[in-house]
Amino acid sequence: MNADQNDRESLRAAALETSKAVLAARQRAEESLQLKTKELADSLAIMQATLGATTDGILVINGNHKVVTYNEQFAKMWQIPREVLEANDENIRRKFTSEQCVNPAEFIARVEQILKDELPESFDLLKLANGKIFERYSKLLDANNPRFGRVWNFRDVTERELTQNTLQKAKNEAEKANKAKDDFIAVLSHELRTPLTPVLMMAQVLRENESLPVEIREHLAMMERNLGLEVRLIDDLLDITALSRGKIRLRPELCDAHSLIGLAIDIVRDEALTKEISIDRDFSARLSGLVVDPARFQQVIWNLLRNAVKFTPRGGRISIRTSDADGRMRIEVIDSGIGIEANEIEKIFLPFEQVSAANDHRFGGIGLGLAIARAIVNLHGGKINAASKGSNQGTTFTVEFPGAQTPPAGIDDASAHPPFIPGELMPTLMHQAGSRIRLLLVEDHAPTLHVMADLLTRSGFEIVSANNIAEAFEAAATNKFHLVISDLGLPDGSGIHLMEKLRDLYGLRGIALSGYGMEDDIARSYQAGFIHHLVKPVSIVELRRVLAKLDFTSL
Amino acid sequence: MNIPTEPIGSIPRPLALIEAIKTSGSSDPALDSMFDEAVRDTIRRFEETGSPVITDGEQRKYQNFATYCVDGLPNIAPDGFKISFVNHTRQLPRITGGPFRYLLRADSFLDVAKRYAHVPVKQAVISPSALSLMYPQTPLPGYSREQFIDDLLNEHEAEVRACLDKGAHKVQIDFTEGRLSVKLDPSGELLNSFIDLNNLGLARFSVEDRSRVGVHTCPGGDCDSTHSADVDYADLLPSLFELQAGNFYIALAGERDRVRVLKIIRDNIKPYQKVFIGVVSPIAPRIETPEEIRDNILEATRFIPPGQLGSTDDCGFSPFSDDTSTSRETAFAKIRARVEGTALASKILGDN
Repeated sequence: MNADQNDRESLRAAALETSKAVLAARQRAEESLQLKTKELADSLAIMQATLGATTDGILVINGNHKVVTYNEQFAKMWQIPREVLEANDENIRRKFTSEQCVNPAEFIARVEQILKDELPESFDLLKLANGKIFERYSKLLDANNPRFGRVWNFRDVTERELTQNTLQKAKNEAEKANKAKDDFIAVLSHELRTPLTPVLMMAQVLRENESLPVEIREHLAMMERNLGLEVRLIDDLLDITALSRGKIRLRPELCDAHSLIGLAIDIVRDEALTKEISIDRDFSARLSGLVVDPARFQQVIWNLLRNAVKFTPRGGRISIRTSDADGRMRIEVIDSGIGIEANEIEKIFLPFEQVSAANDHRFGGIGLGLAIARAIVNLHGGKINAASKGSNQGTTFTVEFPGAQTPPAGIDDASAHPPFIPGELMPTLMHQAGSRIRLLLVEDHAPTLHVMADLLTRSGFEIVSANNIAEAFEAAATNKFHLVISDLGLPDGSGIHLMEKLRDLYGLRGIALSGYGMEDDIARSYQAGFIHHLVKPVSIVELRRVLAKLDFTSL
Repeated sequence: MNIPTEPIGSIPRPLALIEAIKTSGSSDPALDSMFDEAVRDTIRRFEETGSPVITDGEQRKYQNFATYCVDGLPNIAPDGFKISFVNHTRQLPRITGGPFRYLLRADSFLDVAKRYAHVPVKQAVISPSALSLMYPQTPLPGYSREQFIDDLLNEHEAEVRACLDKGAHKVQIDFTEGRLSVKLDPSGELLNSFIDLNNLGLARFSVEDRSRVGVHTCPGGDCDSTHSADVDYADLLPSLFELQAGNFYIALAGERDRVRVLKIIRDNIKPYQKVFIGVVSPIAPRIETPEEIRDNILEATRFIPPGQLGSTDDCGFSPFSDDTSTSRETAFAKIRARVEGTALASKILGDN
């Protein structure tokens, strides 16, 4: 054997030795493959069982749009014959499914878009000609490899969609009914308020007339009070409506609660005195600073006091106490009135409830005050409750507001939040600008227009009256006015529109008079150019006070 | 009908580069710019032939097509098995201990080539079966033959996967020892072992990946001679098509009875496989004409469906870097003829 042959033989021998190692490696690889094949088969069996167990129809296609697998539910939902699926032709399959849809072209276009754009996921609803609705969801099998395939999931959501549609319809109808109710209440409020304005104004003016006999002026004061009560009833009705709709917007600021409580006491003081009821105060809270809407806070306290006065017999006693309560401020209104049975306590906070007085009209009212108070307290994150030892044992209302803090300096007296002050005489402001102030008064309610014009003229203003928008424009075109006072609901249009035009054409500003006093109404007035929005019935005193504050030289 | 055409790989290195390697050694950093320039020039000239697919001419395989990945390893010795050619021998390195790791992977050549190329680039890698011959007959203490085979397959897989991931048009596994194995062991046992080993490597890839992997077989051309031209394809090809690759690059131009080989291919090729037949012979000095090549391709379509047929070179033009038996000009002239001849055949097949 020569050297070449030796080399070749040793190479052959070594290679054949290596082949044994290769054989062993192959056997290991085959064993591993068998194991993996079994694992795969198990996994496949689990997957098939899972697919079979779901109520959704599932179809898996590969990158060439061929069916990889599907479950029976898919075939059943689409009523696809097995031969169609086994033909594995995407066009036939797509035609079969699309033709069951209300809009086959849309179905096909969407599928083609999903595939072309390789969307990682898609979701849509399919409406079938037979009335069924399918939810279609698809997802790439591998987001990094769009050509690997896609899984399509179909869910029959017919019942769900129909239920949702029914619910939505019911909701729409309920909202529509609610809106109609809101509108009705707003209109009702307007209609109730408007005729009160001239009566209230005239009663106030006459009461101020010292030449009239005292008894006549007292009768007029009684008329005023009763008109005020009616206005409060309307206000309560509007407030409870707005609160129940979540339409009350708070304007919180840091206030001294003691000061606000004092103002509320002042409002009911006369009424209490009339019934010889004493009102004691014990302001022990050191942290009487609260971030609250001052008007709404006063409304709460005023409602509680009014309630206490109403249900406390002549000669009784009302106490109002404050104290610190772990970061909260506690306010208690305690009366010696008719009390409440324990099982009726919660009812008193429900609208239109007057416990024990349901059939007893001695106390009057429509039972909204406490419901309004609770709603406002809740809006502030506080709580309110009542306690009574029983009939004729008096009642204690406890209110707690969160965030009690040191009261702000400088607003610890009532002057910071001026209360309603009846009967102030009109200051002599008629010549602020060096000449008589000329007002354009627009009002379609003839009695109101007549009384207001008369009173304002007597107060020294120069008044030009208009019954509607057309007359108002005509007057504005020929006269120079310092201010417009206008009703909003006019026969030939809206006072809002009138104000916008007068502002744009002549730079005029105005005071709105409206039977509509919801927050949205007031906001619209300000946007149009009004600088005040007075809700009817407007008292002459209130109107005078607003006018007195205006600087006509800047208007 | 477009008949694809691809090169095998190597192009003779510029003589200046060969001289520089001889003088300074291949690892001299000063040669980097010469290597780069050789790659750039090779790709430019390759593209000038109109070749739709090119290689880097294996300019950076500074030793040869087989051991580029292990040259310089500390655990190899130069005294491995000898491969006898007609007039000379080549000697494989021998592994002296484990673990076995590549020092260089072919995807690094691809990185450079793709910087210059404007057409798809193909990358050749050595087969696991060729490198398996590095393990000596006597087992190495502490590093068994089984461990070596596992390491070898892991390295091979990493190299092929990197080339695929980097966008190689095709990854060609050079399997010239296939024919040699029949010569060494006419029983076919060794060939089947080589097929098994290479299939173990291929099995690690998906079907889609394997459609971009090919296997090249030839009688081993070097210095105008071969190591196994005398082995009958009938003993090789039936086993060769058992390889789980999508493409086969089979030397045919140098065969005396091409029709017989084509029939063997016809009888053994699988429907998912493509065969690129050699239509130019790198070791033949004469440059084939496009018409001859066209006719050879048309002849092949009588046996192989055109959709499974492509053309190639019989072998690389310079598998060993110091081989100066063929000039760069001749190599590119032959490649140009292949490209033009294949286009002529495509046109005729398209017209029909």
